[in-house]
Amino acid sequence: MKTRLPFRIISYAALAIGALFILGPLYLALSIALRTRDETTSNFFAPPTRLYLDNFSTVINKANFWGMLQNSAFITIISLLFMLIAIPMVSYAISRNMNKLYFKWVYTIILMGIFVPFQAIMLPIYRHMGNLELLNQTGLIMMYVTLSFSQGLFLGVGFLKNIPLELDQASKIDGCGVWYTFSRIIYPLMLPIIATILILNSLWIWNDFQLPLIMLNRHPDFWTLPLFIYNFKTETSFDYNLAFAAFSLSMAPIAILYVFTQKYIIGGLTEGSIK
Amino acid sequence: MMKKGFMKSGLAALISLAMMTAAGCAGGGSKNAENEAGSNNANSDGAPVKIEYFQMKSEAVNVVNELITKFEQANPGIKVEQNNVPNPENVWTMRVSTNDAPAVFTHYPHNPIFQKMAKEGRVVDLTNDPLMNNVQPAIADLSKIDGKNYMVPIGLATLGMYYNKDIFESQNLQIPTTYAELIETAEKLQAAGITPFYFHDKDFNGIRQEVVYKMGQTIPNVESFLDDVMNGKAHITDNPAFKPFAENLLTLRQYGQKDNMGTGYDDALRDFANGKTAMWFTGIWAIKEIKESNPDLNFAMFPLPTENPADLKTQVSVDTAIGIPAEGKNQEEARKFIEFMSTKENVETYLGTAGYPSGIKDVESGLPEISSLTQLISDGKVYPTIERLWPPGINADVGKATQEMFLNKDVDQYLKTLDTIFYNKFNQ
Amino acid sequence: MNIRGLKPGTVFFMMTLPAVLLYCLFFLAPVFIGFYYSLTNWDGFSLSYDMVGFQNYIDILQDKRFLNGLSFTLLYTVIVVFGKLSVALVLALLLSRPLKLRGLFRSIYFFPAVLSMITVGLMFNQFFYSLFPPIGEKLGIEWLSLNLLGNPDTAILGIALTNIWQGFAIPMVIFIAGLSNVPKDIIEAAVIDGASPVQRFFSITIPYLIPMLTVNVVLAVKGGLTVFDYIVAMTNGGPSKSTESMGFLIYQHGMSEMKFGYGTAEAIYVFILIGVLSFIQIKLLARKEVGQQ
Repeated sequence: MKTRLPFRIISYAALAIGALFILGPLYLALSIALRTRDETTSNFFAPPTRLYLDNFSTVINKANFWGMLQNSAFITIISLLFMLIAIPMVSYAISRNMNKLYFKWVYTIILMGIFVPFQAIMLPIYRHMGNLELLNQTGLIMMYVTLSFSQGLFLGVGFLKNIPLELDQASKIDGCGVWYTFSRIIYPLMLPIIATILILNSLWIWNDFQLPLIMLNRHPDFWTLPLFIYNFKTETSFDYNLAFAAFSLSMAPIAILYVFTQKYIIGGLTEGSIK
Repeated sequence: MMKKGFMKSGLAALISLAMMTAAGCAGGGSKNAENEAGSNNANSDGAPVKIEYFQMKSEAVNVVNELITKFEQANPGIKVEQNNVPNPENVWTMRVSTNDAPAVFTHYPHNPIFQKMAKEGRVVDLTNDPLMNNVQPAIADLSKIDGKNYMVPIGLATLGMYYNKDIFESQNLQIPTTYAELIETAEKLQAAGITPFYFHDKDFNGIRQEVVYKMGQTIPNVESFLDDVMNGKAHITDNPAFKPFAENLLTLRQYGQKDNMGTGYDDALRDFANGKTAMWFTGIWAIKEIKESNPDLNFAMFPLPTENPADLKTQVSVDTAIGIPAEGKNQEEARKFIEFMSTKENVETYLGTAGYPSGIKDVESGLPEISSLTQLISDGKVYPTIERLWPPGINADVGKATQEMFLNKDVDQYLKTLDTIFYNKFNQ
Repeated sequence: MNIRGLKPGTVFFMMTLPAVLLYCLFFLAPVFIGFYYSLTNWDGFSLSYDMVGFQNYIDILQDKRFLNGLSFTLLYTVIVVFGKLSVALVLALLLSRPLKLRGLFRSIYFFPAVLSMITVGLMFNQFFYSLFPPIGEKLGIEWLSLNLLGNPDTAILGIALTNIWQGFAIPMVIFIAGLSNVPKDIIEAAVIDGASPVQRFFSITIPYLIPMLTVNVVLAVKGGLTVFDYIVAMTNGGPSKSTESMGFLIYQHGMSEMKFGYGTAEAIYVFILIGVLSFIQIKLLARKEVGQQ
């Protein structure tokens, strides 16, 4: 199917204007971060005339930026590791035992969690974790893993419905145990949906603000990047250029990662939504 | 290979889960349990004792670090770690109520939640404690909660009108000494095409500060009157002094910038520092940031004028006060640190940067920019912040209600709202 | 641990254990604890509190602040769902055409979705004060020459615009996935039968998009009803309580106004609301699905 030329031109024009709306604010943020205070006071929109990086180094020196970056990365990676084991495991067990009461109940109850908004349990979580002395990164990771089950199970069990039971039976006849069948045969087949789960959750955890706000806002050593940016803004927002340098810095890691992985991210999400 | 890896991880997950559960059972019951970790004194193996100084003033971080270095040199066995977080009042409450209280902390004695926690015995009672010896008696009285001192007051805060000296000079303006003169000044500025005032009315908190200040300054016997209202014995709508008070708030807005409702504190600070307005009303805590934002700005403060110059007074609240939690660790070291922080010399260093008036005897402090305010304070023309007597949440509600009045300009409705906020609060 | 010696049922059971234990300990327990506290008048920090039965639940229904918050949240949700999904659908249609640069455009359009809401919110908060008003003044647009966030009538719009800017990307990708599902031969047959593009869109494309629409609506509604980060970053509930979303109100009551029990009761209401709404949507939209899936 070919598109006619005038239509192509209109499409491109519309897309370009749209892209301007997306890139404009980002460009502005970066350009303010690259200028001194005097330069922005005189003209807010002017592009940077030279490579002025002092704002960035001030932010990095003033706050323990690398430490926060590390915290964010650590929390995200460890949570994902746990999820990538636990979610396929429980999805497989449930999808192959839907006729048994226990598994059916586990499935139903965990799935109902989809309807529970985080805010409904925000206050009790804070209290509960305080009592368990888990208002720290360990507790946060446990929370993330727990909160990922509802959606993970939904996607995982749904995906496994399309993987024929004959595979299991064949492997059983070959004398393989359940665990072997899962880890050697099923898990590799689940990789597309695992990728979707990985992408959705890594974006959520990396960018999450609410859980760190209630669980980690007690000492700067604990902070993640979203918490850092919120707190940094509260403290020094009277300095535009510093604030925008901090915004840009906090966007930088994910932006860099995005450049290299955007195909997989978009592809993974598409994959997940078709299934 | 893969199988083994998985089993290992699965096992690890299970084990860590089991540990979590165990910790859960133990932790769940420990609500009132004492802190196990050394509640006392230096470790026997000679390692330094670490204490956390949780302090709430972000503008003081650098000077506190200097003081800590000095303290650590004098006390080699003690390490002090400073912790400054935003929204510190919430974090403090959170930590004290989950048995994670910092060893030494600053707080505000007028804060209702602090008062409640103190009355519940979560904070060490320092009344007549040797740590209070250096404190000016009047300031010690000011910071009492039900007749008791729970913190050592170090620094005081007040509010006033910032003004741009260059603008005032170029327009040949004098510092107004009455409310009428203030309006006159504003009119002259407006006629000259200069924005007289900036208001940061996007934040209800800034409005709250202004309202509380002006209530205390202009409404006669406001403390006892509001006490009656909160006891259900009077109505705000029946007090004739409130209507002119509310109208004054509105009148001043006529001389403000166009977008006062869209301006936040930081925006106003930045714009004042950049000379976009002649005057701005807020606390002395903005001095340091204004100077940082524009080192060349020629500015000072004057007290907010009253109808009659003889009634002129300014609100004083304790801005830095140091205390110890009742169940805190290393109390002895914590006391040493407070003692150090409240000596004349160190208080001078501490208050020097921001120019805050002092709660400690014989301390020279105060920047030239605020000399008219410090003069009032040393003359005793002061009043304590009236919100110290209000239950939690009321002051925020007052701020938000005033914000609503700025939007709908309905003074009568505002007074009714104020009445519902206060009326019978003590009996609810 | 010798797995070979265990019965399959036991192995399956053990495979569910990590999820079940974590879920009970960190999800179900808080839900029940929350319900318990919603029956108390606890302030969140005092050593003592009283059981008050369902008093909080009764009070909430008469609380003007809660009802205002509720209507704000619902209106906000409608604006955001409509805004996000229409932008997403238009872009998805454009980006499904065989254009050479569509890969690049997809990447650009998707980028905001990988950023954190708090950063975007703080950034736009600055823009609303110092970027948009000068533009509005130059163009002579009165309502844009002021900070949108400073006026109770327009603040909701400011927050929603920010949300749409960042939030259309994921529904867009999901729509694109749906469009790639439309069988080519059906469209070609329709072209031969002389169906106009508009006819083709409504009679072929839309039915195939219904499942995607279901997913998108459910996700967007949930996102709208639980808005929190943007509120904290941009208005803090103001001006004068006009932008207090449910999530913000719960946080505010529980963590800073010291009405913990009250806040948990509000949370239970929100839970019920979202549960019921999601259920209705799925039932309603599922009925319209065609063939497939």
